[in-house]
Amino acid sequence: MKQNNDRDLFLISVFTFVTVFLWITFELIKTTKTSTVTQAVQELSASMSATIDTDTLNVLNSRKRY
Amino acid sequence: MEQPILPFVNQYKKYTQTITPFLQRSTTKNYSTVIFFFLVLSVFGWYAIRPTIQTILYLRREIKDKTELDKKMDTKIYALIEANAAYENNQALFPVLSQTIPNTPEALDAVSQIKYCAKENNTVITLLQMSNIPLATGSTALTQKNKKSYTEIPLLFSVEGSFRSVLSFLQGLISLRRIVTIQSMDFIPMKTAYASASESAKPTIIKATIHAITYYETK
Repeated sequence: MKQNNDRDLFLISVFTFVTVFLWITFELIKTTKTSTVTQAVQELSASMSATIDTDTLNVLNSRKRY
Repeated sequence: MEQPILPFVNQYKKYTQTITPFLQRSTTKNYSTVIFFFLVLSVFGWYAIRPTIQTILYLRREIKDKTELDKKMDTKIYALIEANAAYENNQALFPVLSQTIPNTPEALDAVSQIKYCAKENNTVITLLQMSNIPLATGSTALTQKNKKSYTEIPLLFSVEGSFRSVLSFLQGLISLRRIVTIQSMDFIPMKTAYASASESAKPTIIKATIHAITYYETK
């Protein structure tokens, strides 16, 4: 009976350890995968084209205005 | 009478006597060592190892992200400088955009453009209808309803004139700087207007009814 108690406590401690180990692992994976840059900064740093479609502007400029 | 030094020792002695042989068993010793090892490892891992490694990984990730962000920002700064130079070079052309698709409906401007176009091409506008036009643009109701970057203003107008005049009017209409898109047209010959004239002397006047759309920018 007492030996069973010992075994139960042993199993509880092992499962606790496994749970904590997995929890720590997943939390560390999440930390690695999550970006530290905020959404606003990401939008701010989005690439942009510096070219201006001057052909279209010239075409519009050549259209008639009364 | 002799007084005990600690009065509660005798009271709890039976418990210690019960536990002592249990603790001295070899299996209990082995089990308790392993159990405490795992429990201590769990607690230590959660409160000491996890925050440390998490901080290390967070800082490494932050360095990586900030390095990439720095490169992106440099690229963006160069692009902005180039865009600024391009803007400076073509600054004279940009007012054309607000004339093509204005920020406000400017319905009267569209009407006057069509009117002058008709006048220049010797046609007569006999009818001109516009749908309801919001005077206050940029209201929340409007922008929520219309997700596009522009709003359409439907136009319905009729012009009368000779075939060549109507043709040149239509050519002038589609080449106006204020963008007007023709959706449909109906042509009706108007010989009935000169009932007294002979058939050959009647002028070939055409009445064109045009459904068109003009636009303004919605922000």
